[in-house]
Amino acid sequence: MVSSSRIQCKGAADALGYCHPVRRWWVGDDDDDDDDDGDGDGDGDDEGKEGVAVNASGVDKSHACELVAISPYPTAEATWPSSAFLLGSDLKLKPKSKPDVEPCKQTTHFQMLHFEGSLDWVFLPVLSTSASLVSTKPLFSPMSSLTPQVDSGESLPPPPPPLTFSTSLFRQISPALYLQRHLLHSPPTRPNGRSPSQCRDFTLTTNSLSHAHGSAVVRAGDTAVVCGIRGEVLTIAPGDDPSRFESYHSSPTSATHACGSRGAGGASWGGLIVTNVELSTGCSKKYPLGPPGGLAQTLSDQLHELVNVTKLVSLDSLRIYDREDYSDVTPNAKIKGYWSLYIDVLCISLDGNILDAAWYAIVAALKSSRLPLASWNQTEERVFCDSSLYHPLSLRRSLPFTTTFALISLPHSDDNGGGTTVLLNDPDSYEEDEACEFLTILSTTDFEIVEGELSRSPLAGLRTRVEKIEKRGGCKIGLRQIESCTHQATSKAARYIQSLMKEQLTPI
Amino acid sequence: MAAKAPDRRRNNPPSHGTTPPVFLSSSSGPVKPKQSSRPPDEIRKIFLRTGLISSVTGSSFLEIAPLKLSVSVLGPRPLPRTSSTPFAAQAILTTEVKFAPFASTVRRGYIRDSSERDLGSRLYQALVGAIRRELYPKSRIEVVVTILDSEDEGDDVNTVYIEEGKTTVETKFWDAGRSERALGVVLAGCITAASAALADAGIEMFDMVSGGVATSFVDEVSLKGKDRGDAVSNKLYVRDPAIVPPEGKAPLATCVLGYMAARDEISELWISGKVGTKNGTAEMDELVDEAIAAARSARGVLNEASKERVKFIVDKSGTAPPTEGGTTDVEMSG
Repeated sequence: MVSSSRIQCKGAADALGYCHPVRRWWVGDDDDDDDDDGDGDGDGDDEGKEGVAVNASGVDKSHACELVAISPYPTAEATWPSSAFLLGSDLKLKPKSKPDVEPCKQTTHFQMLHFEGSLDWVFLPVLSTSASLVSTKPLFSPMSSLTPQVDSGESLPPPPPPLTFSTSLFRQISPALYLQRHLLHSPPTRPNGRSPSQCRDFTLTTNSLSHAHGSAVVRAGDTAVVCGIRGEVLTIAPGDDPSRFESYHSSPTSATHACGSRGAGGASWGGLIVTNVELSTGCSKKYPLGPPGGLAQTLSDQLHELVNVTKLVSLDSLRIYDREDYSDVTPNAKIKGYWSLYIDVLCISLDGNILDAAWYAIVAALKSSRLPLASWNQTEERVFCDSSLYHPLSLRRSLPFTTTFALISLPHSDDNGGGTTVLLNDPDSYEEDEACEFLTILSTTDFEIVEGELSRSPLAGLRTRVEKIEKRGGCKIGLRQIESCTHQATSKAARYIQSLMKEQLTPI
Repeated sequence: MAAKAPDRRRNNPPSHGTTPPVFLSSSSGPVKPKQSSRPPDEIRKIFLRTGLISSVTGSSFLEIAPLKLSVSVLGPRPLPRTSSTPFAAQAILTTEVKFAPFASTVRRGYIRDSSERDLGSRLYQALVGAIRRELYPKSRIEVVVTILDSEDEGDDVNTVYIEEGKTTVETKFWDAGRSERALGVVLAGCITAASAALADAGIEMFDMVSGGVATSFVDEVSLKGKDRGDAVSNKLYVRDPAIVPPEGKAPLATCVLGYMAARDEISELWISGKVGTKNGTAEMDELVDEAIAAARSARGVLNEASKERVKFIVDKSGTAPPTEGGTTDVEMSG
């Protein structure tokens, strides 16, 4: 892999005029690299004389890669004689210190470069700056460019007929283009047949597990998650101050906060609810087995944060008092312990948009949870639970829901008059792979029942309040797009509330 | 729990440590668990369906009473090309069994414990002989089992019974063969479901392996006598035993096996408990035969699930049954 700090990745696809999944790396050669030249003299001399745009620079000396030289590609780079252009995703460069690294020159116009390792990349002929070669057409198609073109101009071989592929192959080898073609179609349709604003149907089942205090299975398209909630008792030690469990977050100065929930386990309210996501269940080919990887950790953290930020669970139902009679909790009842909730989300099948599915499962599982009635036993000095009495968790009144969109940027075309961004509701994993970023909206909606019938859409959103918008990355989307996303989020939440009502969890 | 170093990759519980809820039952003794009305030679109903997970090669979901597990098969896929990977003329099979944290009464950790590893290696033994691994050189096949719910450990393991007037707290201890029985049922389910998933993945096998489990019980009275286990006459064999022993019976031995019905071969055998040797191997043979009978019953379900899946694929793809290879070549013009 090319891993120098000074190598920049540029979207060269536009400049080249064709789209190819191989990534292109530009190695910037600044004007101020005289000292670099001094270093690279041994290699750089010849190129300099011949006026070929080759230079071994642009890379840290410490990294000492032999570089890549090249070509001003006919159009824009003609004025940038010493820029380097690398094509390929898996390149290994020889260390510069090795004396046998010499650029091997085929002709005066072409510069072949020494690479070690895989040959998966397409050799890019190095062009001279001669004007005869400046053309607006792409000079090589991705597949046929392995032979450098020796003659410049008169005897160019006839261009080979374009390669055509079947749809399924096209889908495989050029996913980005495949997706773009679908979305540029009118009306825009995604490869999975949905419209951009359409989310997948989902099913919800609650309390199907026997050992969990609350559980839910959510299946949205081919994504399936199981969420199980187990309560355990946290007994407050005699000298301990229960008030520090009462705040939603520990104060930022405390050490527990500094190391986060992954650290020693913050003794805050946030610490009482422990959310974890498990993806190493063979849920997808792409996700490796073993300890949680980046995605699982990110998700665990996001969901943990969401549970805490939204204050989803009211602290009232987690307190354990020192009296057995729960009918009247007087202010002088002492808190002896807390319920700690372990929320575990297992992904059974992964096909995109795991965050929404996991969040829905968590909310439904919390809704369906029944904790045994616990109280402090004076004689035994420990917390005992009643095996016959259970109480539900009290959640906040209006439930927040996440809705995730994938942002796909479309190239310039005549129709839209410039690059635009399309937002895909509830992306599947194929779309997720091509998305440049994601937009997640956390919103709450107050509903009213329009008709008494459950089969039709009985809910109408009264008022939607956006609690959080998360958008990481640099794609531009307009306010209007976010607004329409919020509407989509509302309709999705309505459907979700409806399925919760079918499970008889929310009396509205 | 608090003494353990925190897991840096997961959200950790409060540093105080938490304890599972302990139930107080002041009534006179434990509630009698309900007995099943199932005859001892009948296994419980099995729900088995394959191909539910689209993003892996093969998958299955199995449900036997409370036991729920999902199996996915990844591969065969090429071994990673690193210098440390040895050449493999046959496919390398790996099996992993993991309980969900909420799958049993005692909350499980995230890292596989010894019993899960043990189940994994037994599952490996059961499957490895059935797969035609020589057809997949330089590749690996991964079988991942996730157990979502189980009968493991019973419901009231944390119940504390306080007798009248006494303050002593006693936790009830279970009969000796309990965990073997629970694990046996889980393993048998794993074997059956994993074969279904392997078949769904289109991996060639000599035969499908089905799991069977049987337990021998004797009267509690005769167990208390001095010659335990010798009275062969009053033995009761229960196929696919539930966690609750039959009324007035005490378990002697449990046998779990992986069985290839078409070849009449046993690929994995696990007997735990007391099997008498007075009559030679007769007692063991009886127990094994019972387990085989249970495996044969499970095989019927396995066959049906596979047929159902093939039928589904045929219906979906249109008319003809799948041809050799199943895929069509891509035409490339130009």
